Amino acid sequence: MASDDDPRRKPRIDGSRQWEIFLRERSAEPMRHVGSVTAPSADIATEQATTLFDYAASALWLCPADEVRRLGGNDLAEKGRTESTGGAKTGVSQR
Amino acid sequence: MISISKLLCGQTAEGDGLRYDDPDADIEQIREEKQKRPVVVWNTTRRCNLYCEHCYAGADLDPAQGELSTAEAKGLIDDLADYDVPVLLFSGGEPLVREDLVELVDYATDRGIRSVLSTNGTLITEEKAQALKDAGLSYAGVSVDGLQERNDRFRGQDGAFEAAVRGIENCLSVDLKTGLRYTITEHNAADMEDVVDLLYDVGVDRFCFYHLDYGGRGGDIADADLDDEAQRRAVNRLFDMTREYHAEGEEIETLLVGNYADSAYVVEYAEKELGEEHAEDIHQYLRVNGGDPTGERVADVDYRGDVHLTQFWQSYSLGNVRDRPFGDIWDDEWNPLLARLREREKHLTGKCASCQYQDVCRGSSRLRALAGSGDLFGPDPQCYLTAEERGVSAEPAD
Ligand code: SF4
Repeated sequence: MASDDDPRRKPRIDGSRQWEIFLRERSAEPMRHVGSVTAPSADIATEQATTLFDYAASALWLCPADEVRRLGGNDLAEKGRTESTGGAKTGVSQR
Repeated sequence: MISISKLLCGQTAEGDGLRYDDPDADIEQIREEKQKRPVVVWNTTRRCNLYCEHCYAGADLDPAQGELSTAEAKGLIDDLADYDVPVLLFSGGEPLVREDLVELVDYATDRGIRSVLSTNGTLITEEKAQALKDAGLSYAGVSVDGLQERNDRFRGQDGAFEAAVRGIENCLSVDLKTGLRYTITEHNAADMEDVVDLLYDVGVDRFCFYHLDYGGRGGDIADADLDDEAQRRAVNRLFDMTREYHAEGEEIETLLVGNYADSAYVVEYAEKELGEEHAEDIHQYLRVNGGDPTGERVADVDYRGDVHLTQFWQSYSLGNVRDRPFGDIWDDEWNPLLARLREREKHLTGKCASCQYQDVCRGSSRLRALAGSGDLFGPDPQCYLTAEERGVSAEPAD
């Protein structure tokens, strides 16, 4: 799902922005996704992410969730449709 | 969730031993063995027909973008069943505004998940109650937060109290197990007992009392939380009231949720009122139960699929079930926050670090600790235990 209809790119509560958080523990390691924070401003999002992860991070990146184009994922609708018609489950959707 | 009636009065409630811990599921928490999979609270929608002051989901009437469709919801239920989630709590917003609620309860039941409901009760007609019961719903927890006037003010609508009581009656009339959910604040602590008396007369025999957590609009009214003395009074009164009912042969079930300092306090109370031996039995029971369940025995999936550490902690999400199946997100202990929460005893600071009841409390709410001091492993500001009760000689300087 890569279109602007992707619900994962919509604003969350009260129009607050959601920020995906990426963390690297040591410089030789890759960045990894460690969830997201929802906050009314970039500064508050940064403060929240720092509180939750600073102790573990040599680097933290924040990215607005609505700016992330996501290809593939867990196609719940496909799973639900398959199951509800009595067919076999498909497992995780194709990337 | 701490079963006061069980601990103090030895009550064995229906389904004991088969039930699971959940601070919101209105189901029994006390078990002989530690629960392995989380109870999942699912905020099926953000929409609600009321506007409650303390709503952690920040719900209102506006349709929210990105709500899971019926097919997606079934896919989520499949994922939860594959992960052996024992209980799914349909919550909101108000779950009854979802037209496919009965269909989804039916689907979860078919997949072997126990379905329970958290509702404001105002939309439960007798037909709806019957349909939910037929779909396999095991339990409905109905929120009432005071006598009529106070409840209606709190819930933002005149007539909400009467409508909730009608909803409760409709559930009971089709033999659907139904209980009260009551969030205790400074504003409504005085009504607690009268609400129990009134609803007991209606036929309710299960009463869950919630401490305020500081998520969503609950954070905006943190000032209305009880101070230490008022908390002790309210909790003591609940203990006494439970014993009084039982002494009269009226076996109500009472539970406390959301502040695990209550685990410590019930041991202290039992020591004074019931003797050392009974108190030690309770302490042992609570050791198995394991204190605050955030990030372990309870999980939350919100209306758009974001997974949270508890339903109250909506500002942080571990990931989204549209990206990865729930079990993969929940098992991903590479996430250092999740890993640390699951071994929080090593990280607790301040008065929690030296508390003799750490084993049955685990520092209580990390969300309140964050709100109070900005320190994830700092003390819960709502811990009302004295230094003596915590087993230390003086208050630490935190
Ligand atoms: S000091 Fe901390 S661990 Fe002890 S009862 Fe209070 S909140 Fe729980």
